[in-house]
Amino acid sequence: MKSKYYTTWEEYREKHPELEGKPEKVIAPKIEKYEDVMFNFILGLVL
Amino acid sequence: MLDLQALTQAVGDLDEEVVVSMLEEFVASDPSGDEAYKVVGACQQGMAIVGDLFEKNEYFVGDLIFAGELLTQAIDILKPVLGGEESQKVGKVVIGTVEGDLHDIGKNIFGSMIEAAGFEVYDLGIDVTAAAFVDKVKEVKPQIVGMSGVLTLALDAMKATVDALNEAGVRDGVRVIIGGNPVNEDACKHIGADAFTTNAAEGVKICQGWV
Amino acid sequence: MTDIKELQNEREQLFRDLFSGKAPKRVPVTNPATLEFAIQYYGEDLAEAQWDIARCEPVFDKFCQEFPTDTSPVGSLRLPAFYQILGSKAIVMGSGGFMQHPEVMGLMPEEYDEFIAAPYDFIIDTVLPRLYTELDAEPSKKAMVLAKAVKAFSDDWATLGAIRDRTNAKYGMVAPVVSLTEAPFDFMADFLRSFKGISSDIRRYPEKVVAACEAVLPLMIKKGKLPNPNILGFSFIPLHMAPYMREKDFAKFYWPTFKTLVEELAVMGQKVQLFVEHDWMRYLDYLYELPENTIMRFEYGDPKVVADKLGKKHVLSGFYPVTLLQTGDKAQCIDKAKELLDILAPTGRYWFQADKSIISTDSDGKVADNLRAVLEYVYTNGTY
Repeated sequence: MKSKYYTTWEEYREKHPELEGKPEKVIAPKIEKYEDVMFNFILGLVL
Repeated sequence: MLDLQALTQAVGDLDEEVVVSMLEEFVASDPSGDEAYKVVGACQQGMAIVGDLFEKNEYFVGDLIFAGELLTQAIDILKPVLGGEESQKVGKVVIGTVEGDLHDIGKNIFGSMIEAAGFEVYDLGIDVTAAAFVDKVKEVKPQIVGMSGVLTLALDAMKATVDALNEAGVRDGVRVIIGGNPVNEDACKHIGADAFTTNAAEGVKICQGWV
Repeated sequence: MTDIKELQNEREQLFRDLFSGKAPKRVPVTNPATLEFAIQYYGEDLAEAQWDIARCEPVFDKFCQEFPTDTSPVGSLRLPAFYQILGSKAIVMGSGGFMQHPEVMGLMPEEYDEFIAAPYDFIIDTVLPRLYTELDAEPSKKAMVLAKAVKAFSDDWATLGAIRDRTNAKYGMVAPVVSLTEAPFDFMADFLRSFKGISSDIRRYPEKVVAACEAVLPLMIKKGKLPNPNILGFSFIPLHMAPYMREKDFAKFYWPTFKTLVEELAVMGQKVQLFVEHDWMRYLDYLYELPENTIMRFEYGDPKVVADKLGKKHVLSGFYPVTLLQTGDKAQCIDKAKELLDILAPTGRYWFQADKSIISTDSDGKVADNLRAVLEYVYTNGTY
């Protein structure tokens, strides 16, 4: 799914070099979770 | 003059391209109002074919909806040559989705099909109160009132509407038909309607039998 | 309390067995009446209770106590607060307090190409502002509206979820985790092109409709995903348009992407429950082809034919006509349940659910009395 409103962790990580050395293994699921929360909310509005 | 039979067939086949090009060509030939009404008649006969194919399970509701679209489009093309003369209306019908229910697909299909059958249609829309039905019946004095609904609660609203027509003293002047997912014979009796249907084409036939 | 936990475990086992194609200990029972029914039945105002969810707790508690079934009887609720904040035209509260979906059109026919190129972006940029008037605003305003709506949505569902958890713990019911998704063609019809629009499109722009269904398929798969495929739950897919189409149109527009959707979800290890709305008897051979143990709840049709054709492969449910609860007497209602048990239980893959949800009450309480009798009958006599 290509979208300007949906970012995978890999894409996000690339844009955020400041995360270097931060605890990525707990950051990644959190960032992904809210990406998916919004996806589900938005899709929920059209079904 | 265009080939009326071919037009009827094209409408029956729901062949939009052929219907539109035939009608555009016809309008360009500057026909008389009388000729134009014959063409409207041919379209209506095409709609009857659509109804038959629907009953034979060759067409389904989606096809009926498109047929309604096609007919509206046909009439729009013909409008400039139809002139001021009114076509003979076979009767008046007031329709609406009853109070508490917002579903209008079934009502719209029935509305466009019965309009195609030559009725004058007064569509009150959705979530229509009993009082609004009564007011419209008093105003236009239709032969038929059609109530539609999809939710089971629509049955109570239909009953309330028939009761209100009774109270207003206008029930005896009209036939009442109900349509939609939850209607059946028991519901029809309970509501005090004259007929019920879950099939718009059948509903049109019932109404034609009444006028 | 341990008895209740045991009961809950036992009930969970019923569904684990059922969903994996083993005949459970007895036929699981789900209440066709929903929270909306309960709110009215116990004398609360439907509109007020949906706005003020906390008020539903005593109602829900009584409902679960007086109408015992195996699953939590919430139903598929549309809570009004966030729809109000968004200025929804797509889902609105009718005069009776019921949330309903009028015909809307979020996508115009001339926009198909743009939609197909990036459907998720198009939905956010163009469709939402059409269907949700408060999102038809400048960016900052839009962001604020969306934030308020998401917060309201998540608060209301957290409240309802907590009520459900407490009540389930008290009565030992199962609440399968459910994700909602749609067949791509239905998705195109419901909020985007409308019933009327799509019915014309398949004749006017057939190739664009096919391309659009393919373009939204990944979205539908993603939307149907459960947080974890091993949990007790399923993707729920209500099926709309197929009965209103000719078979050749169905085969071209509806079936291919729908089949892929169900297959992809199954490959992830998830269960899928189809609500087979309206009359699908023409399409039973298609339904047979879906992955094994797809759960199918039927609204119409001949249960005998369905049991013969699909009973060895899929989980069957539905058929029980809720209008009978309104029109029949207790004996007739129970006879109907017995008839369905006799036909469907021998497949070993039967789940008692009704043909429709019951969302409204009748004035004399007949529906509730008949419902109680039927649920009790199936609960006690539902053996395979």
